[in-house]
Amino acid sequence: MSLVVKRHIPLAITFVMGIIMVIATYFFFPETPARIASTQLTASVDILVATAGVIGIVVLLRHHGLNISRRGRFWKYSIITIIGVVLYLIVGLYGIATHERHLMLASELFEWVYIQLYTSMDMTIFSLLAFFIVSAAYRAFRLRSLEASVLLVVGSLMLLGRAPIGGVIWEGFPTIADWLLTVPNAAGNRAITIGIAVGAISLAIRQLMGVERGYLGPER
Amino acid sequence: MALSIARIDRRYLYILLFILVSIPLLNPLKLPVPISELTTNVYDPTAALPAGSIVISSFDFGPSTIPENRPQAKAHLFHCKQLGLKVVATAFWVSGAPIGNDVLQEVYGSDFPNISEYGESIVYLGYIPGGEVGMQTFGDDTWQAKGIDHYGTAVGDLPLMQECQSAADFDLWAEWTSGTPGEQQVIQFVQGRHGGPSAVPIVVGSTAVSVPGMMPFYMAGQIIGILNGLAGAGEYESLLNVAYGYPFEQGPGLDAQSVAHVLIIIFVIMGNIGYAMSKYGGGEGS
Repeated sequence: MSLVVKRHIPLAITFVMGIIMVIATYFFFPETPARIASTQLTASVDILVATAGVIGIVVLLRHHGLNISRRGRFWKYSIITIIGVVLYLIVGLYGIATHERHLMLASELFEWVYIQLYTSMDMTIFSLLAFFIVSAAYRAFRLRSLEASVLLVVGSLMLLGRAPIGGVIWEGFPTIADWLLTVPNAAGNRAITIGIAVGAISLAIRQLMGVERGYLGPER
Repeated sequence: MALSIARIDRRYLYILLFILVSIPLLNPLKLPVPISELTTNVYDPTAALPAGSIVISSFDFGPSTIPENRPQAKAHLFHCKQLGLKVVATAFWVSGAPIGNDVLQEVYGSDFPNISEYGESIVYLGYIPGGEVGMQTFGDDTWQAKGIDHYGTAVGDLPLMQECQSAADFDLWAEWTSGTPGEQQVIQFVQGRHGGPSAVPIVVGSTAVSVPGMMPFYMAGQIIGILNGLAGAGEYESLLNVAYGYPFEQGPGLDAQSVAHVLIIIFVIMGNIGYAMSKYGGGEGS
């Protein structure tokens, strides 16, 4: 593939699209033609999302299919993954074939499978976190240094302040927890957020100018 | 001795946690629930909205955080219904769409959406793809973001949607979230583009672990109130219980959370006693 197709055209598309969005957002008020045009442009992202979804399924099936054929690491789990994808795909297609109203709608069976199976399994896995947190708190929260001690004291105050029993033990715990949340925590998080924002602006400018090209893949 | 305290088999910790958490779930302790300012800052602005105001209720979470996000959204929707507010519910997470439908059926009745209010005071748009870009489109031109509701009716045929065509029509955005896109994207792509916090006030219901990251936005007034995890849901239910007799369903969960938190602190103290003994007392672990 020529350099023009691999590099120059994607860079030109990035620049043009980026500049259009920047100008529409910062130099035009809502309801102006330029702003309405930019809205129509962003609405077209639906097409990209749908395309990416199809590509995602193909890549997933290919990856796990190869893993099974090569008897790779955890290949038995790959079988379960493929069965899950194919079965749910069939349920979805069945819903489209039998639904009377609209092609885009999920059928009742599709939502039933989601709520009754996936939701329960996902909640179960997530609830295991409680056990790991208890074990980790017991083994890792040690007064090894000044920083670790501060973390331990603040963590304990938050644990007591954010549960009803804290207020029962001493009514000052919720007040302390609120102060920790709104003053030191807010200050630290604000610094991090501003830092991330400045970094994101810098990265966006570099991408618009074609200096940052990592998103195009390796240059060969 | 020091080594045994410092290195208790984790399976004993798991069993102890399971037993102690089960007790309040089966036999609630009924501990009093103090109402935090974060919660009243969701309740009061909602209650202050005139009847007929439009509230966006966005289900942006997945099954893993249902225990925290679902009761928050359900309680707030009930409050909106009691106040005669108009609700446009949606989801920018594909995993949130079925959950939203489930919650709406619980609040508006099992016949939802086949109820007389549907289309007049409540609409469920379902999943809107595109993440933050979908949010931006929704704020700029709501009809462009989703042409049909969750059940296949064209938005143009729903009377409520005639009044809700862009962020200029939103009186409150209630964001139920546990990740991205979430409250920061609503601030950036909807509130920021359409007149700021006074034009699009945002209240958030979030997992407790995410709330510290929201505080800069709360302190700046970009978020006006937050329901903080399970405790926030319980506090909101408690306020609704006093005002409308709403069931206080999170009581046992909050009791279990209290027990778990105290247990964690006891384990931390035990772990540190063992650590100190092994380090300074010349124990086996030193």
